[in-house]
Amino acid sequence: MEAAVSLEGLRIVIGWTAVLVVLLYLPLQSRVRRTGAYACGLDTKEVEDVDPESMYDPLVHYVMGDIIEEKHDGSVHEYYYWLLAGLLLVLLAMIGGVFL
Amino acid sequence: MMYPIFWSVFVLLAGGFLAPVGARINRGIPPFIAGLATLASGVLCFYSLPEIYENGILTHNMAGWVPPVGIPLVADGLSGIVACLVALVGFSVVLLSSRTRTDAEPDEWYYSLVLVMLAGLTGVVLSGDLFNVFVFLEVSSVSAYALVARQKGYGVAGRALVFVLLGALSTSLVLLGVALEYASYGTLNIADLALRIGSIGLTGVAVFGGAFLVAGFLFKSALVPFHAWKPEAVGAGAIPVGLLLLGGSTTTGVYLMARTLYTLGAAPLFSLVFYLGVASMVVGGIAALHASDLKRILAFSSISQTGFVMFGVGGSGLAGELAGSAGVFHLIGMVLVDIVLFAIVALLYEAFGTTSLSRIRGAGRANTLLMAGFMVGVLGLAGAPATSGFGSKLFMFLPVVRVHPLSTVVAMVVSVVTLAYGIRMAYSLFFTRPAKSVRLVAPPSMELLLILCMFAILVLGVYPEMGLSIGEWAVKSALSRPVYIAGVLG
Repeated sequence: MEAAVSLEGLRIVIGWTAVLVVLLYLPLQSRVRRTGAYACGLDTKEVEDVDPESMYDPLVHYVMGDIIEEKHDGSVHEYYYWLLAGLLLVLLAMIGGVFL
Repeated sequence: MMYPIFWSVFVLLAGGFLAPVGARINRGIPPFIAGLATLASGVLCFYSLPEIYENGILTHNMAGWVPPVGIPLVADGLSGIVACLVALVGFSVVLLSSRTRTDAEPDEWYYSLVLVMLAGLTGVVLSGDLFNVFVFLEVSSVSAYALVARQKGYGVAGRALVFVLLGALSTSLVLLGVALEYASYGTLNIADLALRIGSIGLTGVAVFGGAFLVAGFLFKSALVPFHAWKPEAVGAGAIPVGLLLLGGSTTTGVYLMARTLYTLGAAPLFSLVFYLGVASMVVGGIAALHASDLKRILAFSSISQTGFVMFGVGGSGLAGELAGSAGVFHLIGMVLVDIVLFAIVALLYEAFGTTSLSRIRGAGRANTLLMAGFMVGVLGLAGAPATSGFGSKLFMFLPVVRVHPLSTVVAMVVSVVTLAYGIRMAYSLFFTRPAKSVRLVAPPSMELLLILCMFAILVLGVYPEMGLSIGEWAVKSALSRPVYIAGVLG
């Protein structure tokens, strides 16, 4: 049983490590860009032109990161609505769990 | 005779009183008192663990009044471990406060508030009575508001006000919940309440009371959608205060939820806590990936990691105790990582006066220990092999994947996102050229703290069964309702 558990764990680790390598390798590659006048291949130089802080911006945009950030702009009214929604959710879960 | 663990509350309260008094004699006394009080509290908590393990539960009736009328202090496996974590965070906060710059210089009132807040948090964990849980929650919350609001800087007042308004609403919910539970069962003693809920069942009023209570506790744990206070308060407060809020308040909130689920037997809530955990890990992870201020990143990261803990705690009701044990194990790892990361951020802030990622680029490049600490912390959060996060997540995912495969896949993807924002921070701080050259020197006390926490994260990663057995003990002891009831009510 323990051996089976370890094997399954190992599969999980290998799986997400593969995803991780792809996820981390690609943005790091895109950080270097060739700039400058190109003359007979002599004047080109490589510069770091992408801020490290923005290296996952395309991914963040894809998963609606900017919208989530926007929703955390300190508006207390909006936060109250969240609290209310949470309270209703808990109430519904309790009522559903006990009486239904 | 009172067991040593219960003295920790009084030691911290006494320290909170003595710190301003000591400042009248010498300005150097308050940090010394704070250090001594938190150290003593830690020693008392850790010293009591073997005794709790041996007896199953330790109780003390205040002023000799017998429960359910009297007020009992109770320490079982779960509360013992959480009290130790709070004490560890407390000592680290005092260490960080004495060596790092805050915009409002840490004076005697600062130390007094830190100690009173710690006393409140420890009191919540050791209280065997719901009303006292509320009282200690208020003590810790009011201190937290004051600690955040005393910081100077642009936008602090507004954020502190948001924190106060949300906090006040949540504690009102807890009070309302306490009142409704009392109206339903005529008792507020947790053991007696568990006994009566078992025999009478949940009445309509008790369901509403329970919902208010749970909403208040979820607010403390900062689970989505109750999490909004965390980035505001941590972003506004000083760095050690941020550690206190993430490591102390959140840990206590998780404890309260675990106690409600396990000891009071709120079975309908396991699924809710589980799904809110999943939502928190996703929202926190994505927001951390987008944030550009270190304190906000750590706050969102904490929301995400608390989601993982609740994924385990809630998952224990759906997939077996192992998930809950792994959740407690993850909580321990999370506290250790928080201490490491906050210590490094505090040093960076001391040198640069900002926590904006773009303005301290390459700041830690010259300091190998900080770089190593940061990497261990980040890898620990993500759950990389040989760190504590690996074992805790593995033992959490294994039972849950059989019942909720989709949620487990989401949790695994969020682990990757965690590593992504960790690497983004590490890359920015340690692997890019600095704009200005500043020599970062960690004081020996902080170096020692960093090394010890890193060592603990790695040991728990190499020997995950150690962390798991601690979690197992906590969950089993919280689930042993008859032992808890017999221990408290006699």
